[in-house]
Amino acid sequence: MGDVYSGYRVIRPTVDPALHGILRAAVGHGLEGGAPWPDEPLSEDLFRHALRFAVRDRLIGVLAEAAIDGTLPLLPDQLDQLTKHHTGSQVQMLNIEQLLLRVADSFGSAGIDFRVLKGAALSHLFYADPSWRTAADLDLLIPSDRFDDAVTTAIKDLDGEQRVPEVRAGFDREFGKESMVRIGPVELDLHRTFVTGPFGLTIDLDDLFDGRTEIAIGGQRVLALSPEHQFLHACYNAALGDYPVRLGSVRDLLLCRRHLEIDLSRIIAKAEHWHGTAVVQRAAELVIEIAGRDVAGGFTELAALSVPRRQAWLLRSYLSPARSYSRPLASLAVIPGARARLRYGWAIVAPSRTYLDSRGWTKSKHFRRAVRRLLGHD
Amino acid sequence: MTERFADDVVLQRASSALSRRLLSGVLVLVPGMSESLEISVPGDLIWDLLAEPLTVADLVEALASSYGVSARTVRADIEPVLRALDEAGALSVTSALRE
Repeated sequence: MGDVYSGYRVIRPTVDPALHGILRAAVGHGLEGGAPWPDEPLSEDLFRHALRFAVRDRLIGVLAEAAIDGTLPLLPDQLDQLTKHHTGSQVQMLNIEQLLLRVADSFGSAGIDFRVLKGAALSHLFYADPSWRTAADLDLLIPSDRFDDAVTTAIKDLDGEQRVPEVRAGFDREFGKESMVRIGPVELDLHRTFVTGPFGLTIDLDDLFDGRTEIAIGGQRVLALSPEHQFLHACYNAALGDYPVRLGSVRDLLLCRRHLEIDLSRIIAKAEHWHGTAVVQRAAELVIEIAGRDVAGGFTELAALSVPRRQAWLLRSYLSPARSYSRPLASLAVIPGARARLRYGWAIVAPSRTYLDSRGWTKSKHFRRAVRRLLGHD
Repeated sequence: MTERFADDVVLQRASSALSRRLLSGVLVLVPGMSESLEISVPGDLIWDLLAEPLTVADLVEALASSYGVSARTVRADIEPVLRALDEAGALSVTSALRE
């Protein structure tokens, strides 16, 4: 069941065992029970593949960490290639942090609360050095009732550009996961909830701003989620964020577990409250499948959770190449109230002209594309 | 060494400076800079040492002892790096340690 369920091996049947071993070593690097790195430098071909996967899976930082601590043997040319990739990634990380400080000032003046998510937070909280984590964007969680203000502030005060507008006016504030605003070289992702689709709609969003974790960056103090919510967010991100799963997200979850003192029974209770038991269970199963049972201390209990049938059905909407369409359809099953369902359904079926134009689509092209994807013809 | 970096001057990373470790050095960015400043090995050790306040004399001595070279050589080598960091606003430069 694991193979079909996780989507990891299903999508990567051609990953050869040597490459799989390297990726596995990267995911569990520095953790007790982590898979060993090879003793000898990799062949040119294997290194090239490993680098490609590491870029895609946000593991470049781990390769750099392993190179610097001497556990990953590299030939001089391989070290040069890795140095180039890692330096590029860290230039972007500094751009992200620079933007974070500007946003903190701007949102602070506007009275908009936020929590830093993903790379900008995790690099400081869980990694041996922030330089061993890479990210592409700045991700912030915004309270639903200030969501529109945050988007407007980012556009007006920070000279941002929203290249893809919301599907219909008011959609993001009520149902959306995020709104993306480009500011200079960085994309600012303003999140209302953890994930797109049904599991993002059943999270108690008011809960998320109850606790906090302080991070000092550039002499300023910014806030991340509480430890419990950091762990749950890491589960949601690993289980549902990308398909196939992004291995860097699995490493995030492992490091999160190692550094946070959390009570698993509280995690299980909160997941139940959010109707997200299936998410936590899948995340734990992925950790065990990818990093191995030895490195996965504490995840076996979560992987053994019993998942309600309805949640297992909703989960399937995330594990498909047609997820851009299957998740919105599945969302209809969890949106309370006929009117809200109607507003949601109408927005999905008939997006605004501005939205369609930004994607270069017409109404009929949008419809045909959705049908083709859902039927598995793309 | 110029007066700006005289022996008793105390140096430290500016609190607003952002940095990342690289395989080949260190990357520094101060809010407002349009591009980050890359300091290659062995100049990155200066940045590491300046995590704490240090007089120029102590910095020179620490580097000379790390690399087994004379203080005179170190002084000549580090001045361009210190100047670049200072111009970027990445250094806090004060005339003496407060007791």
